[in-house]
Amino acid sequence: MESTLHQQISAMKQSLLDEGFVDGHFVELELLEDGDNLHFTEEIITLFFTDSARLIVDVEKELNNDPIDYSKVDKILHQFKGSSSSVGANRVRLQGTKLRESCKDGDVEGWKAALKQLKKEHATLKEKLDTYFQLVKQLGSEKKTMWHPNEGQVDMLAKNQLMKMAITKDEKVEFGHKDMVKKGTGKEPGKVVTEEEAVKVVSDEESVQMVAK
Amino acid sequence: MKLLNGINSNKKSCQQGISSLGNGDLISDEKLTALVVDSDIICQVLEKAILESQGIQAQVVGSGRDAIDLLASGVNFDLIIIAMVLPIMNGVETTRQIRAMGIRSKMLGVTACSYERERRAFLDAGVDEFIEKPLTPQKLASVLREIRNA
Repeated sequence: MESTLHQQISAMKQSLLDEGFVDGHFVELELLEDGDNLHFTEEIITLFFTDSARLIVDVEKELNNDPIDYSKVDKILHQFKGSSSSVGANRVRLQGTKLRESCKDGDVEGWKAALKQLKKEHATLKEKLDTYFQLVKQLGSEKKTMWHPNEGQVDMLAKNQLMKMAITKDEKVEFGHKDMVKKGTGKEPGKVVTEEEAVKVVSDEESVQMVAK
Repeated sequence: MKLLNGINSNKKSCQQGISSLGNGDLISDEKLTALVVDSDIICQVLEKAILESQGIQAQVVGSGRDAIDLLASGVNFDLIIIAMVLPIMNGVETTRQIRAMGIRSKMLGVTACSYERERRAFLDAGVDEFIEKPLTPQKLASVLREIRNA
């Protein structure tokens, strides 16, 4: 059963995609989240905003020089394109490209307008993603483990905890094993199991098989 | 921040030779290794994370000079992912020097903007393949298949 918060997050992500703020590469970042780093997306996005803000400052500084060294500007914007595309910051990347093209053409009015718009897109994306990650964090703190026998749907945090413990102890863990769940937690399958209870199950002297998700 | 200490989803299972598919089968003990040569921190972090998510042990350097020094020290890599734009010595020149050292690792050139002349220069310098950033697991898949089948 999907919580309202979960639905809200999904809807927000879809909206960010539909409006072109982010593209598929942003979604791919979330696919890299697992095990040791469940906050990879937020961390790399935070890193991106810090780094890209610096690049924008550097570009503006170069463009305010007289004469302008357009090759330096181009190098900065080349880097900007690489990092913005890597995190799926679509509109920001596109605006960076427009700025680069205006600079290449020596179009002063063009690059002034493009730089202004780039800053705006950058700030807008940051604001939207700050809100997004706040919701994601909220979801994380509200999460419980749901054990679904034979359906394989297990809360990611508990699953990762179990995998870590299983691998550490050289055991194998089965998700959805009815008897094991009931023995370890006293709960019927399908009932909510907390992370602490999940840890307890693995700690027990019993080995079961890991079920691929 | 954990990012620069390495992000992986299956690192432990791969290290212990346990299949990440979760069926308990043992996989080969041999891990593929990769060197990322890129001065952009976002790309460094992302490329390392993608490699490690594929069970590859990845090391990162920020310049062509550092890459050459590392390789000259005797460290070997199955795969070298090298950016075109690097400080001081660019990716094309770095690739030339790496190949001149006799290093036959698979080399993948990456760049944010793939103009034909850049692509040509990178391939002529010695990279085996050339892609436009960002690196994705899909783009990496065929490269890894070739290495594993070799």
